[in-house]
Amino acid sequence: MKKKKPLLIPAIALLSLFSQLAFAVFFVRHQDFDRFVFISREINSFAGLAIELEKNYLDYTKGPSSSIFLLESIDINSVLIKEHHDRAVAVFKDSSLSLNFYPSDISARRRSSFVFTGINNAEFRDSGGVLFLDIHIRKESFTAAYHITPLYTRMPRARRI
Amino acid sequence: MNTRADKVLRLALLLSFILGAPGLLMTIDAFYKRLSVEAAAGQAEYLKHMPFFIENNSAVSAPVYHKNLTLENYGILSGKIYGSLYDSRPSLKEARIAINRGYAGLSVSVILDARVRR
Repeated sequence: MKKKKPLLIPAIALLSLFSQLAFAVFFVRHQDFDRFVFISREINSFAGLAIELEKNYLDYTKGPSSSIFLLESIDINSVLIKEHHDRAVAVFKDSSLSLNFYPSDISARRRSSFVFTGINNAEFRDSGGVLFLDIHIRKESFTAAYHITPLYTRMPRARRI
Repeated sequence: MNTRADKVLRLALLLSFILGAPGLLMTIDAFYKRLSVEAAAGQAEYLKHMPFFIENNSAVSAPVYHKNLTLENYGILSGKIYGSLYDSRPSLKEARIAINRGYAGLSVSVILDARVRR
């Protein structure tokens, strides 16, 4: 009598392997998405306070690979200082997106700089009032939108920047 | 192949799959759910700037006007935006952004100031 091949164990082992593989894939996708969310939140902390997008600042020029946010300066009590502006510049160059903050001389905000590496592509699209950011991380692509308005819908909080 | 150890191994494999499968499904669902939230938030940001884009008691497909890679690249996601008058006030508009991910969906409501464009 021919002995029956036990198929149950290989079948379950294969299913387990497949589910582990799928889990690993989605774990990596989660990580890419988390990176996008983190970058988006960081940019939003500037964009939420920006009154407009500037065309030129220092060596930077507004374009698909860079965006310059103009923010009104604040004093130590978080009160806005008219006619004095801080700038935040987001630049994509060589697989990294850097976010540099340049406060004015009398601003209470401090100079800061972030660099996010390992980004395949980042592109800014300005539609006049709303700034879109398309980010490609590995095989994942995401879009974030930032509402830029001179009206302070979100009041400045000193701890943000 | 029918020793006690084999039976235990078989049972352990089966249990690991049974217990692991819901975890995997939850991981996949969480990914699309978070994508939906981000996509809805992006649409809300756009509508803040352009509340006149949606009319009262009507629906438009998301993304509105501008391309959105999050909604474009993940075919499982589709969205609709429903507009209505908020609290019977002509100055306020309620936009309900419903993002469907095939088997389930979520909706985010935003109250928009319809008086100003900026």
